[in-house]
Amino acid sequence: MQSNITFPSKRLMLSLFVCSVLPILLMGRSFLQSDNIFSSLVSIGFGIFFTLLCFVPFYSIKHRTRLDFSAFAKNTSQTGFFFVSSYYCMYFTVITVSFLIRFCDMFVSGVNPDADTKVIAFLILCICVYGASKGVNPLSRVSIFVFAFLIIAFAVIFFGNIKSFEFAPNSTFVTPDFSNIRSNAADCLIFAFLPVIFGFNSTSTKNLSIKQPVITTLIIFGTLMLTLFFTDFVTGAYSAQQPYSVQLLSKTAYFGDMKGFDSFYLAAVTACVFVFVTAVLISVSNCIVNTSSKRTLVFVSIIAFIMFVLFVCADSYNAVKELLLNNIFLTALNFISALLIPAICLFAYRRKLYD
Amino acid sequence: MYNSLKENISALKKMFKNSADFTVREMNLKGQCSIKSAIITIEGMCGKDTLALSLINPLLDYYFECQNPDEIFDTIKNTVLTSSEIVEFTTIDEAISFSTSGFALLVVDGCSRMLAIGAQGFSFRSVSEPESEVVQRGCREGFTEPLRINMTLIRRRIKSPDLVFETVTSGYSSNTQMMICYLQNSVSKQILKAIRERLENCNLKMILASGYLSEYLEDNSSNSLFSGVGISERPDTVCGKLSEGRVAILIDGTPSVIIIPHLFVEEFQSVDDYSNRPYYAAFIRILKYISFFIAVFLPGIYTAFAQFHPEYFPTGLLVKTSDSLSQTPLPVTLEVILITFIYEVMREAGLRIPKPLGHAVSIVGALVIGESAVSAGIISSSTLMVVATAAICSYVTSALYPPIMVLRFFCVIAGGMFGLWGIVLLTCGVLVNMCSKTSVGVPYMSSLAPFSWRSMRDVFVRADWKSLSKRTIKVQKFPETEEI
Repeated sequence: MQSNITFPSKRLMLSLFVCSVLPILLMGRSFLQSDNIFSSLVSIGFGIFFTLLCFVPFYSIKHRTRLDFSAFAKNTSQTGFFFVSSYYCMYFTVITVSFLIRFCDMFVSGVNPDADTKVIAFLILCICVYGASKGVNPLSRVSIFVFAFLIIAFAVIFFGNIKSFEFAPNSTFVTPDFSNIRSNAADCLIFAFLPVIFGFNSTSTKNLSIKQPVITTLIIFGTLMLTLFFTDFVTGAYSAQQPYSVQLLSKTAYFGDMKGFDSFYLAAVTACVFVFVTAVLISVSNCIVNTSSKRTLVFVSIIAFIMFVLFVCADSYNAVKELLLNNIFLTALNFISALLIPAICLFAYRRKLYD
Repeated sequence: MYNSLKENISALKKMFKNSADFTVREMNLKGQCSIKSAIITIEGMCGKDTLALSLINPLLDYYFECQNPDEIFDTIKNTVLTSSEIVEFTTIDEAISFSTSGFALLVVDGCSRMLAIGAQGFSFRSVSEPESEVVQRGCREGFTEPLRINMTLIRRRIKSPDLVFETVTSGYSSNTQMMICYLQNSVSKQILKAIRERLENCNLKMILASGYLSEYLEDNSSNSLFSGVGISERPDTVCGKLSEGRVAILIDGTPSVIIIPHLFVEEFQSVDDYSNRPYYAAFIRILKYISFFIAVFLPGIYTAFAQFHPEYFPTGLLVKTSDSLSQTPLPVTLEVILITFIYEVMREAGLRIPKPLGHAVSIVGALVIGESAVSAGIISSSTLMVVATAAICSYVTSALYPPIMVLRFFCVIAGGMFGLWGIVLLTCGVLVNMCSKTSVGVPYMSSLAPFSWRSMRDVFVRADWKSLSKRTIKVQKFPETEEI
């Protein structure tokens, strides 16, 4: 899957932004359920800090060695690489299934209650395996188109509600209240999967600078804040009654005499799912095999099948589903994947250098 | 070749299997001693008048002082013949090649050398405007079947010594002559080398059309709906592409010229864009892009909305659509597929049918399908409207018709089975396919992905000529062009 052609790291950052729009669009009303704007802002601040912190080890590896994390781990220790690659295969599987479940839940509750979620997950994984077989460079090019579509979709979703604009804040503005920070912080920390995807796909990129992950993270959380502001303030009480506020908001959207722009939301979130799952599968393939090989497609297909099996388990057993949807569990995994293991690998690499 | 005239004629007759169009005109040259010679032609390939004036008459009128056959041969070559094109050769293979290309062969008894004299006179179509690429303000000339005429059409427009034609012969049975055409100071040496290698590796028996070669020239040709080679019948289009560093391949016997590398955005560009005002050119370009999307997605989105998301229709349209759909027996998906299929059958029939019968097809199409089927309630008028709109839009970019047609079917199936999200997933898959495609190493989606601000001046809009002429963007300079 590795190509000799390098592409600008800005495009990889664009792909990461597209991946990040997925949790933003899939957030339910439980996301940042807070009565206070201050606790929301503090939670978002935590999210920015943690995400940037998670970028540090991968950025450092790329900057010093020009390798992605997988190749770096392999160079550091062959034995350790086996455990590292196994762990990250598991991590990517969990995080993919987690977001597939959210997507399917949104689909069933908001679009078609009779939809078979297994068929949805299967089709998404099939298309994404094909996308993963082409590599990260074509995916980053597809992200350009998805990004352009997202701009239109957000514009339609936000401006389509102009007619029913009501500035009715659902949050108390005046009194600071930090009581919900702990529960809200986990919601913001799930974005830490982005540095991990970056870490496994950075080898084909060039012209990486420290500004790029910082700006990307700020834009991601800026988009999150904009969406939350729109949800909480513009349509206020109406959005509080809906499970998926962004989607169902657009049901009341008016644009001239035309109404109902759910289609843009559904198309946007589907495109983001595709980019996200494909990026994860490419990361898995980089984890397993580092050179272009037809065997890679076989391995990626096997991992995709395992993802599907886990999805079916989650669909059948509530306990599995709850675990996979638990943001604290995902945050813990992100912490291990984005900070702990890369830090250990960097430490081992330095020790090897000095030895 | 042999020294004996009889043996040479016999050898050539044997090679041509005594073919009925193999013609030999024997003659005795005037001189101190009679020397026999012969003119060998393939009937119909040489012009009789040209042959008589430039070859037979001068030979019969001349008195040869010398007796040595080689001296006689040299005298004929340097003094007697009035033809502008004379080539000396010595092998049977060359004799076959020249004679089948319309040259007259001159053999002298006692001399193992032969002369090929240019006397082509075969019938060919005159230079006229190509029907597949009609423009409003461009030239009215198009390529024809003979290779030399096509070369002349290009040479007349690029009067520069940098314009190079390289001869290539391909097809082990047809021995089709081709020309690789490029501008020396613009072309990428790497791309040129790759094209030469791919033509050498072409192991076709016969090359009768440009499409035969397309699959050999593309990168991973079988994996994509879109073609990585461009085809044009217009000399002005080809000349424009040559100035951007591309390579043109002219094939004898076909008016279609292959241009590579070829990019997706070029399908929406035409010669008229560069003749019209920039604002109008921009309008037409954007119209083409919108038409492309309508042609591909409209039937699928209509099917998805009607089947799964009726709430997405505006209220007025929803009432009318549901009213018309409720009166038909078939599900929406099947209806759209059926009408699209019938339309494709009619289109194909319209292409093949003799002109006198064309009116009958129009009547059948308009009245029987358009009017009667709707009145009988077999198909709905709204579905027919949608399919007809998509069909008309597909002709705005007619070069993309094959992928549009296939994608349209897939979109309808995806929309009918899964709804809007199915269409989005299919689109993502197609986008990955397009974004991973290259044309001789150049990314197929160049200008869009990888995105290039500089080349956007000629994608959705056409910048004015003062901006365009400042710096020509050569195709090999596009970002992420692979080394082949």
